[in-house]
Amino acid sequence: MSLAKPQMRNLLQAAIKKNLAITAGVTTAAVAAYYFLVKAPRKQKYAEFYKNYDAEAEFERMRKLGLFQACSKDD
Amino acid sequence: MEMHIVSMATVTGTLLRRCSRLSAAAAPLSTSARALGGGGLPTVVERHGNRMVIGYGFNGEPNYIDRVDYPIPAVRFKEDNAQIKVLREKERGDWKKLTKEEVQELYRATFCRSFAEMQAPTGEWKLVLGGTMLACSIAVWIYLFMKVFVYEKLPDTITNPEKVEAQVQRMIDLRMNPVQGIASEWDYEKGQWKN
Repeated sequence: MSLAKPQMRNLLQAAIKKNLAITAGVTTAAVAAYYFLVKAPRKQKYAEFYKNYDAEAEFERMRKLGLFQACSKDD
Repeated sequence: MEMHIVSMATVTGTLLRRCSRLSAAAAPLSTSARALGGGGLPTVVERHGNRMVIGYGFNGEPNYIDRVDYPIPAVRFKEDNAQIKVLREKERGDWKKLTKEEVQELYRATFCRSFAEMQAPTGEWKLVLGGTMLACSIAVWIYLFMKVFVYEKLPDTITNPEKVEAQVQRMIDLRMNPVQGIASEWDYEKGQWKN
């Protein structure tokens, strides 16, 4: 019985190439997952929140509640 | 004075003759310091007995070790006997004429373990995992001890529910983290937490 001749040379180079390919694939997948699952939704939420945000109204509301130290709550 | 010089010369001569005898006759391939005539170098105790030196090994010393990255050790595993000498002679001829048992015999005379045996799993990971978990559990016990006997009571601002409620109410009023944080979890129309 005879086995196939195993690879005799360039074993390290072959291993490095394989590892680089795997690295490229895994990092791309990880970054894509993070972008679509975390970054894009977060950006969307912030856009929605600030679309109709009235800063002056919010400020007046908080001031009247007496939550500021530098602004009095009376008019 | 002269007597000392004469006796020193005799001793040195004896040493050098021993060294040359070693290097000439017994170990043409030997790599140990003594065989190479290294008088004055720190010598290594040679424990390889009668085993034949067959190469450089992994560090130049006449030792035997099963290593995947240094497959041919410096010495054979077993000392030669008459039976092996016969087989060695046969080995010099056509290998196809050797029976399977003879090949095995020759291999085991030179090597202790095969590659498969060398690389077989040892199950050491179970020991390591068990030891790690034991250490972690001891750490947990130490923390519990500290909590019961060492740490002071938590302050009132954390334990008192009225004070906590007032703090959370302030966070909601100030719209702290309104996009994804605490103020976004409050339903402002209904005046309660979202679910």
